[in-house]
Amino acid sequence: MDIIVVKNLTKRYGKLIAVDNINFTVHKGEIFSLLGPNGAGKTTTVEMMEGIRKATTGSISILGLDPIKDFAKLRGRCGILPQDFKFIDNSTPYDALSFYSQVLGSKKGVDYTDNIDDILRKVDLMDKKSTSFKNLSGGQKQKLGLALALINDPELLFLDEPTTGLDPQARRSIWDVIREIKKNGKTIILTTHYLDEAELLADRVGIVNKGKFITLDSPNNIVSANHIPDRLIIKGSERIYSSLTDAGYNVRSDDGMYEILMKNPTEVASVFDVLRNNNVTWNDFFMKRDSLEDVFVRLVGKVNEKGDVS
Amino acid sequence: MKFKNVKSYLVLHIKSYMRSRSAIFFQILFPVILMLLFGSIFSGGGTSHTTIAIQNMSPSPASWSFINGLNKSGVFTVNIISSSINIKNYASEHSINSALIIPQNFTYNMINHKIAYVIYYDVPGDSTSAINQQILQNVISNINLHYSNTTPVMGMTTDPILNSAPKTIDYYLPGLMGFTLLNSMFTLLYQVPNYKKDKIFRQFSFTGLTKSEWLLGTIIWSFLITLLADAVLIYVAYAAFGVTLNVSAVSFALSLAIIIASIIFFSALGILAGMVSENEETVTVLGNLILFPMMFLSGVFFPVTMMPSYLRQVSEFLPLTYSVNGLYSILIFNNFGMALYDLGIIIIIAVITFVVAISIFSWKSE
Ligand SMILES: Nc1ncnc2c1ncn2[C@@H]1O[C@H](COP(=O)(O)OP(=O)(O)OP(=O)(O)O)[C@@H](O)[C@H]1O
Ligand SMILES: [Mg+2]
Repeated sequence: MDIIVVKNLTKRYGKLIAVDNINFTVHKGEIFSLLGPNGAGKTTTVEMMEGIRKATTGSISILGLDPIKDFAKLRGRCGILPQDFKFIDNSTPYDALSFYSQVLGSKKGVDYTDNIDDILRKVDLMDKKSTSFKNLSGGQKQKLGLALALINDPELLFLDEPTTGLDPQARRSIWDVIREIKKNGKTIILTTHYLDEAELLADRVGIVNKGKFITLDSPNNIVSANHIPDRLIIKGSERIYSSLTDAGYNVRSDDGMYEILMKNPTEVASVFDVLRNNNVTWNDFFMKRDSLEDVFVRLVGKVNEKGDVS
Repeated sequence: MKFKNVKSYLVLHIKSYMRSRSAIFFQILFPVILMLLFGSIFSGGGTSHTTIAIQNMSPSPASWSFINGLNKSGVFTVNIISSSINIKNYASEHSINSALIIPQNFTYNMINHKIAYVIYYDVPGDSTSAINQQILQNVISNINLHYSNTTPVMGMTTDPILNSAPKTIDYYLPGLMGFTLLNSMFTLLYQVPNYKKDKIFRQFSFTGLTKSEWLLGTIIWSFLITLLADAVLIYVAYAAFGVTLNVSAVSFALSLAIIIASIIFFSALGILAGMVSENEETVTVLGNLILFPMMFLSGVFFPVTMMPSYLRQVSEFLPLTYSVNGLYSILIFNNFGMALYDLGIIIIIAVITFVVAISIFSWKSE
């Protein structure tokens, strides 16, 4: 079932086209990630889905509702962590969460106050429960934003760069939280700069640049479709280059490192056979396999060089 | 509009307010400090007395009865100085603002039915000089009547307007209560641009809180904090200076009505001013631009009646004038008719400003 349907969505700021006629759907229970460089249009896209920015043209359906017209109806069902989350300087995580619990709950006649301690523990903010917002660290503020988005156990979550500014350990614990939410059947829209994050968490990734999707697929499919064969990299003397080219290999030389494309893993053995037969010595070697990161850099780089998608 | 949401916001706001010491200082302690300051400046407590230095160059029953008349007016503390000193120097050395010379020809002229002049010196800038001259003039007229043997055709019996004569500090209490009304404006003048910048209104909207729930919460908050500030003010005025107020159910209800209407007006004004403020400098400039004229021309620090007429005209355009006047009429003069008139004007201004503010103020940043 499609929880989100976006059709021909465009957003202009004056002359700038921040989002350029994009189309996509998000299925129930998946983690859908928008990945792209600064200014790609991720936040603009997400905020149009949240109903806090107006689309210039195009249509968005969220849980079958219109994000702007049905803004009030959607409150109880969506959780939102904005990219630049801030709260009242002199309020504490506990005050903020209990305010959210009461107001969000008032709609359904429930009170989420009982969830507060659980959520604080989940995002690891229990010891800062009574610290003024202005005295929280950047990462702790971010964690509070996530906690607020989760307090009413929403079926759809918008997380705009949830782990930016967090230390590696905190990032991992946030990933665990996100995985657990997914396990409970919730749908998550996740924007990120971190390719490992998208690769690790997302079911599907849309790589965005200059307001358009360069590609939209599962991380595995993106990597294999834009895949460069595995490469063997050998460090050592210059004779590596000559003896391997003489043997018919395509070798790229780069500052004492020699890169040879492998059609299959067994080829590695024959390369070293050639070197041994020629009495060529080497210091070190390793295999390099494409990750989403390489694909991303290559895809976005290609787009940027040409100025547009081909 | 859900009152439960209003209450939740109110609780959130009060809790964060309690953590901000500077706000508590400005809203509650500052008016009290001003009151103590005024109170000690006018520590005499009674009606103001002007010391007048008198040099009598023409001692006679006539001149002494004139001096006696001044003394009895109750306005002057008469200070007779010897005829050998220069009275102007004496006055300035002793910081006396009023001085009078009864010239040598005074008695002679009076006996011979010529006009007997006295010479009055005062400091032109002194706020009481007009009143002093008036009283001098009165004493002189009485003496004229007496000596010309005419029966007065018109007289005035005094019936005290007030049960007990108001003390100077009494006049400052309604003024300072007016001052606390400005808090509601400052709360929003700072809050609106700040919350817009930090996108806290957006954050509120994610919870389903509505703009009107937020606004009602804010106005209730302003009302509570103003009541608290006023209660502290009245208590200090009473405990430290023995201020006597006109207390009755009607005066209480009318005062509350004036306070509520004024808070609605000032909250709306704060929203409008906050909307046009883009950064902290504009907030400060705008705040001062609104604060200073109101503080000095609305009767907060000086009674409007003491001002020259062109400034009084300006003050008629300042809404706070009506709040202060209204409180003044109720609490000091027991004049409910006048207070209702002021209340009417405040309500009209408040409704207009409020409608404008709420219709052009949006939570969305776009
Ligand atoms: N309110 C606005 N007015 C004008 N231009 C805007 C506005 N908001 C965003 N833009 C522009 O739109 C483009 C897309 O911005 P957006 O914030 O959506 O990017 P993003 O992909 O979220 O970037 P980042 O990774 O840095 O968060 C940028 O060029 C930005 O300058
Ligand atoms: Mg962004």
